Amino acid sequence: MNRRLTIIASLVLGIAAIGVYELKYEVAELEADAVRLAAELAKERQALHVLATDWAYLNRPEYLSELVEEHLDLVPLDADRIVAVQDLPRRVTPTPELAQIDAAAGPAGDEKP
Amino acid sequence: MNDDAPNPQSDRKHAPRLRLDGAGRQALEIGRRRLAIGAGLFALAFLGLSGRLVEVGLIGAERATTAMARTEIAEPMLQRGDIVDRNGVVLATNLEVHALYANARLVHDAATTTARLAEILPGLDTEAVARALASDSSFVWIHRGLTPRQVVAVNRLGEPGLDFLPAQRRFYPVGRLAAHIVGFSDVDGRGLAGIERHYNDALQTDPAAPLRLSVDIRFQHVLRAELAKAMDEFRALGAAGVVLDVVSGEVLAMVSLPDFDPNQTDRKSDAETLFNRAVLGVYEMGSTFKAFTTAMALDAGTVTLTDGYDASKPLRVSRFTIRDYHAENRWLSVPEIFMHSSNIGAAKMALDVGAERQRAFLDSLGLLRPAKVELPEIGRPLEPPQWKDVTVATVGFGHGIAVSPLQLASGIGALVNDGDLVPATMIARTESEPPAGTRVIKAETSYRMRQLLRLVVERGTGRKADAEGYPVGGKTGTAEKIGANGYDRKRVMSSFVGVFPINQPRYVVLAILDEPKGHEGTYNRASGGWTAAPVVGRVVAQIGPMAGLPPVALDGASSPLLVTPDGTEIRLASF
Repeated sequence: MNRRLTIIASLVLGIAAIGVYELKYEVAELEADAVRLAAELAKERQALHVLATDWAYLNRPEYLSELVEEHLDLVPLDADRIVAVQDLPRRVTPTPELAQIDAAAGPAGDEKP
Repeated sequence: MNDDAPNPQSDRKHAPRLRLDGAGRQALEIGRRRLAIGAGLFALAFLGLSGRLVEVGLIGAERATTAMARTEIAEPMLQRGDIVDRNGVVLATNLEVHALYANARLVHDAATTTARLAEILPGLDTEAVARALASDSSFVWIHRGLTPRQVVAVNRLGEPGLDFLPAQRRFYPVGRLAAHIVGFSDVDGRGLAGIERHYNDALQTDPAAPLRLSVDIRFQHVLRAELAKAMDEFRALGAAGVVLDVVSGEVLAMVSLPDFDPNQTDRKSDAETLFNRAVLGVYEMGSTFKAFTTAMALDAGTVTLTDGYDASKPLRVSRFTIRDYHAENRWLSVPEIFMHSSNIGAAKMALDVGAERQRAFLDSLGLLRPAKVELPEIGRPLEPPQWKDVTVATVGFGHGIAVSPLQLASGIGALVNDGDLVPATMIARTESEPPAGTRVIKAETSYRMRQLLRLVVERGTGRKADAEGYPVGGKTGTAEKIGANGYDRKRVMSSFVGVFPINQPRYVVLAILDEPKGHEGTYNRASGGWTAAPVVGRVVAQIGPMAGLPPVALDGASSPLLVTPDGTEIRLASF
């Protein structure tokens, strides 16, 4: 009885010791990981900050308007291009007659929306 | 275990037990009990240890998380906070750079090193660097903001006396665009001008919180581009402009030309360009002041809209004579005085109100005190030393008193904002804090002023300021500058102050050109209506849609007011 207790106790002790050893190293490793990740995050944040500044620099209105003039057909928005929904004309319900006129006028869909 | 080997334990078990009695037995019992107590204590101790082990290993997760939380993620360590516009566009920020210094004692050949450094770092003050490198100092700054590429190039020189320190440099992404508003700071991060200076402490003590300005960089761009175009077209010396929200008092754009590049660190030749004409400069505004005179007279009740004054001949006040530029030489009603910008009429209107009330009125509009706005460069208005009759008359049409463009815009804003003067600000207001306005004129007078301002654009001197979809009301101004022999007719400050949409005023747009010269397209005229009014019109047409204002078409409703002696009918737009 006494001997069995001793064996079980020493076994438990051994397992516990190995467990603690493993746990401790695992924790240390995780902590090192966390520190490394934090440093990486800080670096990324720094990079993001630089990129945000770069973004602001590249989005200078005068630079954008230069680019637009060179590459696009965009023009400043005119007030007459802004229309309230209730001011739009009502949609025409297609009738057989209208369809005929459309067909005579040419293939459908070549008109710009 | 080997069975052949003698085993003391099993020997003890199988051997006949020793029987002891009396004193011997008692001693044995005591021994056993002591042993048991000792074993028990040890068992307890180990049990405690095991319990603690389990607690640490399994239940102690909470402690582990607190340990994790201690591993802080470092924010970029900025020495100075960002400045952003109302939409969060970065206007000023700090960047990590490398600062190059030298230990002059370790530098062998100062001249060669300087020459090589000059190749890598354009704009280096070679003379100063050569002197520094030849000195006996162990620490001299060479350059405080190197790009990574320049760092590599300098390292490649292999000069042991050169070394780097991490540093930060202030960077202004939009450059010139907001130069006078944002200002700049020196290489050690001290604000020297503009917002950078006014908010120096706040930017340094709390670098994590960006400072949000009221400025909208898109508006700023439109205003600057149009002013620059006009300055070029009319060969003006300078220009200034303001876009102000009349309801909240926020300054959405403020331009002063010529301007400077805040990213440039060498500012020796910049005295002229550093000057902020929009707040530091004070100018005699000329006819735009007639808006104040008219509002004052209408509010005081000394005239009504159907009254008028005789402007058939020049007005003599003590030894001065006041004339009209576009002389109509007849009786003029109040709307006509305003529309044709009659000096004689405005002077008479001011004289009827009187010095005391005029001064009090201008003071209530904040035109006699330096503007209260979050900038260090604030011009002090020039007030006439005495308010004699002639002063009252000239101030009535905007001479003899000088105010800054921002003050003018702010004052006009109050006239159209139902008479509420809202203090101008450079900082974005939140929806929850409505600005406290001060009532300067009655709402009824404010409505009349909007009608009159609209009249100027519909039929008067400001026709070129109208924008499709965004009806503008406004007033032109052409003030002669003071030359060697009094006022100089050739050198003028031309301005236009516009309000839109005039049916429900939201923004004041002010444009001023310094000494514009007329050209063939303007029949050689350089007045406000020909030079500054078109600027305002184009600015309004562009910023109206940006501001998300729905275009309005005034339905042309107007009410007849009076018929002038020469038969023309004056109608005022109603909205």
